[in-house]
Amino acid sequence: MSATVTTLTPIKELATGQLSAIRNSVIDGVVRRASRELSLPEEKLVVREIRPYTDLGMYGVTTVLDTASTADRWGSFYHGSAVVNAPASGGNYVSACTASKTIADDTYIVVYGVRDSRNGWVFSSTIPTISVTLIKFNIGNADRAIWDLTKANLYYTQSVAVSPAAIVMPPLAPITISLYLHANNVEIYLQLMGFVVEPIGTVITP
Amino acid sequence: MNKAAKSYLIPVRELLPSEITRIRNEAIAKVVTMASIELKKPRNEMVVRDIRPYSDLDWCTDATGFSAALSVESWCPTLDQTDTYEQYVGVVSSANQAMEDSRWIAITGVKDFRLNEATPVLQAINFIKIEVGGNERVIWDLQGMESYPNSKAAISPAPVIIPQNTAFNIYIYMAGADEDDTEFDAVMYLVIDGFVVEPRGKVISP
Repeated sequence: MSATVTTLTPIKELATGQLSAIRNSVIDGVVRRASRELSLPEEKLVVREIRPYTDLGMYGVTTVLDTASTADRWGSFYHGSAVVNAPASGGNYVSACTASKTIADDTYIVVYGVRDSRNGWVFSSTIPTISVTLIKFNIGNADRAIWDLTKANLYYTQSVAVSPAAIVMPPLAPITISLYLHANNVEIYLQLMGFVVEPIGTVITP
Repeated sequence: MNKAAKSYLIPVRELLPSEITRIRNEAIAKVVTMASIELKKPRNEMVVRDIRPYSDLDWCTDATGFSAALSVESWCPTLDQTDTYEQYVGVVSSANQAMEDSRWIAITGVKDFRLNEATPVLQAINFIKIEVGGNERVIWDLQGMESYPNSKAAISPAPVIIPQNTAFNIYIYMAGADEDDTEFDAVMYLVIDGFVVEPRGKVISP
């Protein structure tokens, strides 16, 4: 198959072991690329978690939230109306990261899937309905992927989906991550699955 | 597999059971070997046991961020509800912060036991940072577990090892539980998963 497959697949629809294979393949690919482009041996690199605000500027905007967040938190997590903006109208993409956001120097961020965190509320009577249907990644001024987030919603206890074609954000690349709000009364419970690859000592020193 | 350092956390539901077992067994073998060499004792004189939160890790002995410092074997402090959100807070008292002689602790992951509570509550902690020997070894994102309401556990392919006589601290990132980010109203229900390696007879004699 020579076409680039960018579709999102719920993990419940993957064969046993396929999720780990995708994850390991994604990490291998980005580590090799970072090693080559930064002229550093792989041993000098670290693979760490993404910090939503610090690394991606996620939710530092009033297009999604009433108050732009500066906390490292994937969405609201907490049901309520105060933190979540009610946009003027549904049916639009809105940027979920800070304006003119660029990836830090010597840093690669790769995203290969999404998790829906609303199920952390399984014990609650106030599980919100999802109001984001699509997510779009614009990296280096090109739209790299549009993922349909609703695919995984029918798998109640594992509302998680991955893509074999990971989205790589290289150093200094301008990025815009946009959410498609299909209606008002937004509730954001979305986590991006992925990693940061950078030289050891930039943030952590394992 | 690439040679970059791995410092991320993976929800157990995204791993094969065999992978979890392999990670755990490799960590035990590695730390037992390390302790055996440094203490010049044969491996069969070592014991691998569970971590005691207070006696081994001084868990939540620093009152910053909590209603009161803990002095009991419990993973569950009550957080301060006033002003400690959106920042990292160290949990180990400055009077401690050094691993005991002839003791190694490996931290392999985390567990979230909110769902065992009669009245489940919010998890207030988004990230955890572990500092060993003056270096920040890992920053783990705890939010990935939220998508798995009946399996809130995660494990790292590269456990954090705290060797004997080494300074350490564990930091929790409290993102603010209230919808408008103005106050903190949740409790931490986090278990640090791992094990202790030490000479037989130091605490237990199996």
